[in-house]
Amino acid sequence: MEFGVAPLFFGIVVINMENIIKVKNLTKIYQVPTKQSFWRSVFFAKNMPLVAVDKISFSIEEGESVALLGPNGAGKTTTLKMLTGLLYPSDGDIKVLGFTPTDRKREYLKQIALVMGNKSGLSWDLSARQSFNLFKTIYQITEEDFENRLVELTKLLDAEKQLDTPIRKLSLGQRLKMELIGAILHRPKLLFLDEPTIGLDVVSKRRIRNFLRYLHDKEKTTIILTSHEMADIEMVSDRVMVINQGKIVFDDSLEKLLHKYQDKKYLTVTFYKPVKRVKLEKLGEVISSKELSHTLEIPKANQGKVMAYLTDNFEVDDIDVRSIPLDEIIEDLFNTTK
Amino acid sequence: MKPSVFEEIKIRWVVLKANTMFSVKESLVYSLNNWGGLASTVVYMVTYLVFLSAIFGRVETLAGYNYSEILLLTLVSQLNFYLAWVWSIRNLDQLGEDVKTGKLDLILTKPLPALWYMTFQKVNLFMLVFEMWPATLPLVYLLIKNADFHISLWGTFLGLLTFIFGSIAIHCFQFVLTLISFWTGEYRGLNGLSYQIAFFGDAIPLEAYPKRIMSLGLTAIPFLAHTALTTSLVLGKTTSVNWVLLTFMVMIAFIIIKVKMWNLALRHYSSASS
Repeated sequence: MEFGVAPLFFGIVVINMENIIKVKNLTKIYQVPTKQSFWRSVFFAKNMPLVAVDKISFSIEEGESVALLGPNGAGKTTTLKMLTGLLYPSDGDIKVLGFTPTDRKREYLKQIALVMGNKSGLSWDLSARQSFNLFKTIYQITEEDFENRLVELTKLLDAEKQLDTPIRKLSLGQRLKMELIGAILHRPKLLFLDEPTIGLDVVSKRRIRNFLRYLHDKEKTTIILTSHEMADIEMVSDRVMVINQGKIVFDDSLEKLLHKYQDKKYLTVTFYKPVKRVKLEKLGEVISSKELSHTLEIPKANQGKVMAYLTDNFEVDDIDVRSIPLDEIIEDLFNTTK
Repeated sequence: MKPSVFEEIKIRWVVLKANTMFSVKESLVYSLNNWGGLASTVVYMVTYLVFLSAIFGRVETLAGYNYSEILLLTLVSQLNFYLAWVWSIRNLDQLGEDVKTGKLDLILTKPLPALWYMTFQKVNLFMLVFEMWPATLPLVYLLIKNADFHISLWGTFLGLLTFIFGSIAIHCFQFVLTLISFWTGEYRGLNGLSYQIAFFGDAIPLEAYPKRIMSLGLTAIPFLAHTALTTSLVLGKTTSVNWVLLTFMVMIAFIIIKVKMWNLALRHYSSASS
C-alpha cells in the first residue's frame, strides 16, 4: 500500500493510494499443436510451448487509466484475461482488489466489468432493456438505482431510443454502446476493455472515448484498456504499458512516452512550384513526397533554421509543423524492442 | 462477506426465475420456429404410434410388455425427451457455443456460480406448454383407451426417484462430453453423440437388453435409468429398491465427476482470441 499527500484548505489530508492490481512475474505459456500428419496428430499429438506473457510485473493504483499496447500476439489480451480470472497463469502472482482472479469470488466479480469489442454479452434476439433486467437480478441492483442508472447512462451515450430495439437490429456502434451500459450498470470499480472501438465509425468512436473519460474522471473508475487505436489511448489513458513479445518494454505516463520523441518534428512544406526531393535531403530525412509538398523529419533544435532556409530559398505556400504521431512512436517502440 | 446458504439459495432462485423468463421471451421471438417445432413433434408422435399399432397388430407382447405397457414406456420417454429439451440440451448446446465463440468470457466475469449458471442458463418452459401437450395428447388418449396394466403407488414412487436420478446422471454424462470443447473448441458432433446415447434406451423395455448392456446402461453410461428402469419399476416388473439405490449412487458419482471436470476444464480454458 502506498500513500500520497494532498493539500486541503486548512491542512493536509492523507490519501490512500492503493495498488488495486499487483502482478509479479506473471507468465502464460500456451501449448500449441505442432504441424503433423493426420494420423500422427490423432494418436501422437505433439505440442510446442508458446510463451505469450513472459514474467511481467507491474502494479496499478486505484483510479488510474492504463492502456495496454502491443502488436497482434504481443500478449496484451492474454494479460487482460489473466487479470479478469478467465485464464490461469502458468506462473507468477496476481492480486486484483485483494483477490486472486481465478478464485472467481463473487465479491471480486461484483467489482469488475469486462467489455470486449468483438463479443456480445447481450441476447441477440431481445432488446437491451430485457438483457439489462437480467443483469439487474444478477448484480442485485435495486429497482430505483437501476432505473436512475439506466437513464443516466443512456443519456450520456445518446442511446435512449435504442433501448427497446432487439440487439440484432442495432448497428455495431449502437450495440457497443449497449454493451458498455450493460457492463457498468453495477458501477464497477475496475473496468477492463478489450478493443472497445474496433470497427466503429468516427462519431461512435469519439462518443465512446468521451464516455470512458467521463467514467474515469467523474466516477473514478479504474480503466484497463487494450486497443490498436491511438486516439483511444490519447483520450482515455494516462499511463501506457507497451507489451512486445510477452514482455513490458515501456511502462510510464503518456506524456513521458511522447516526451521521449519530442526532439523530432515533422515538417510538411507545400510549394507553389514543384521542388526536387534531393534539394531537401540535406535538411533532414524526407518521409514522403507529393508533387507540390514534401514531409521532412528534422531535429526539433533545427526547426527555426530549416523554416528560415525554406522561406528564403523557395516559394513556400504553407508549412505545417507536427510532433511525431503516437502510432509512429509505438511502431518505433515495437521495432526497436523486437 | 460470503452469503449464507439461505441467501445463496435465494440468489440462485431469483436468477433462475429471471433466466426462465428470459428464455421464454427468447422463444417468443420466432413464432414460425415454434409452429414448425410443434408440427414436427406431432408428426413424429403420430408416426411412432402408427408404427407401434402395426407391430402390436402382429405380436401380443414385446420383451414381456403388452401394447399399453409399451405406450406407458413411450409416455415416460416423451416426458424425459421434453425435460431434456426444456432444460438439458439447450444448455449443453449453449455451453459448447459459448466456449467456441468465447462468449463464456462474459459469463465467467459475472458474479455467479458459473457451473450452476451454465446448467440452468436456458430453461425453456414455453416449449413445455406449447409443444409438449399437443404432441403428447394422442399418446395419452391411446394409453387411457387401451389401459391394461397394474401400477402400484410404491412402484410409481420408486419410478419417480429413478426418473429424477437418471435424468440428472445422464445430463451430467452429457455435460462432461460437452466439456471436451474446452480443449478442442468443437462440440456439435459430441453433443449429437451424447443425445443419441441419452435417448438410446428410450424405445426398448429394460428387460429386452442383454445383461452386459444393462449393467453398462445403469452405471458407466447411464442411459437406461431415466426411462427403461423407471417404467419397469412403475409397472412392478422390477421391484428391488437396490436399483433405486444404485441409480442414486450413480447420480452422485456423475455430479462429482461433472464438478471435477468443470474445474479442470476451466483451467484449460484458452478463451477464443479477440
